[in-house]
Amino acid sequence: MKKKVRNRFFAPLLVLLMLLATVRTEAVDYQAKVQADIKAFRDYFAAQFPDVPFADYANGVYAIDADSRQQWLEMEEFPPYALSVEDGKALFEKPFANGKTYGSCFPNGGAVRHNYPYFDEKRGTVVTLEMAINECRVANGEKSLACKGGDIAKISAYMAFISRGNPVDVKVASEGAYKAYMKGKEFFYAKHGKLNMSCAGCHMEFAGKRLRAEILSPALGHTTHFPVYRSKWGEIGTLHKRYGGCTNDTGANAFAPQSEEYRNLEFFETVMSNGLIFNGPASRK
Amino acid sequence: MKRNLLSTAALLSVMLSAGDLRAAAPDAKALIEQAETARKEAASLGYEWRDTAALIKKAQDALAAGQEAEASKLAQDALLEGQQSVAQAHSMQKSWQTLIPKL
Amino acid sequence: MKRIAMIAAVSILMLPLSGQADSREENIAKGKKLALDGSKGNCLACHLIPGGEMAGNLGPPLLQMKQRYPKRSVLHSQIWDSTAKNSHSMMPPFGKHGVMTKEEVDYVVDYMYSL
Repeated sequence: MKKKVRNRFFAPLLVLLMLLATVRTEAVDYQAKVQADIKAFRDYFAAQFPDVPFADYANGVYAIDADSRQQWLEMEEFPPYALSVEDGKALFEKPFANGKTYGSCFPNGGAVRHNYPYFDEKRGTVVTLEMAINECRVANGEKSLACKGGDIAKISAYMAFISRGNPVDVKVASEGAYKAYMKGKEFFYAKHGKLNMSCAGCHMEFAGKRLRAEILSPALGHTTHFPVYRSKWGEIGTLHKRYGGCTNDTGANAFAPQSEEYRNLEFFETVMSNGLIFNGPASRK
Repeated sequence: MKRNLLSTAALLSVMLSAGDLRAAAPDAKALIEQAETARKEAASLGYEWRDTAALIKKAQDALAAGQEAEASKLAQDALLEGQQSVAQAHSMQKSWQTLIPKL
Repeated sequence: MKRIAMIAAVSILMLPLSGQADSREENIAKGKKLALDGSKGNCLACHLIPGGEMAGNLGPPLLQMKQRYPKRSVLHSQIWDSTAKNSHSMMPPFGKHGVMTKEEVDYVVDYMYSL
């Protein structure tokens, strides 16, 4: 009798165990793969700039060039983004036509910058801070804001400012998230445009070197400090505005801010900066 | 004698101006269509170049203004961009991983 | 009559050749203009060129080019499509991607050989 019972349960039990095994390995694999990428990325920069402490990469080009660092430290006494943060605060606190505020969408008084970008499992897409700001607006009967500069950059600057000090910790825990991550990764390493250039070419291999008179920033830490007040723009602007400009410069057709391509790129770049501290907004040349 | 010399001179002048004839030969309208097809393919792959659409528009405008040779040249430039951007897309999709910088 | 015709024919055929010898300076000047044009060679973006200002340092300085590229065709290829030799190359394929024509690359090579 016992033998019969055992045999009857044996096959289904085996199937169940196999299923559990696959589910368990699948959950571990994505994180492990991404972790291996992060380690390789960090090691690459550590080898290139052995004297730069890891945490410093959040300061971009100022971490790897003494002269620009000096200029930047002087600017930080009266940072050009300070006014944008003030404007952003006012915009964040101003009620919509329906009486609600951004506070109804964003907890913690808006100090949630470090929760973005994230992969939304239900929607199967990467959600960025600017995207979430606009979704809050639309949900409350307001129009979306353009995503290169202006009001959205100011609100983002305020939220970044009050979120300073939080660690970058983007999760890639599902197949969907991993797919988005890989799309961003491909974009970063592939050559684009008439000039056949890649993000990695300038911001990894040539990081710290000069393109004309400008020093190329290291990709590690790229997204910790946005939005930025860029002297060239004369105003505060978003990460996707900068992405568009760079794409343009390589002779490729720029994607729209908050396009899937740029959200995936932001996702990849932020994952690569896991472990650094968010320190936006910032000023740049 | 005179007729032979005249025909030789005529032949020579035709040969020397053959360059112009060849440039006008490719059908500008067909080239514009080919360029637009290539541009669309590159766009669908995510690798459209910045100026291709503008070049096509310029070619269309030149053609509409009756500047056949100019339209043809612009269309050829646009077609090159379209073809190269598609080639770039295929090449990158296949081997972008090999471009990851190693230590 | 036949002799006059022959002389005429030969002189007409010689016309393109007679231009070449004294336009080498012109070629170098054309090449320099292309090299320094931001929408063409834009070489200063990445390379030091003697006499150029605010040069980048992503690529090697463009000096002693005759010694470094004794074969003209090799230098031409490098400018035309550097990825043919090195798939990782960050140098734009100026010829292959239509930034410059074959003639323009020739002029740039002439200029390079003057450095």
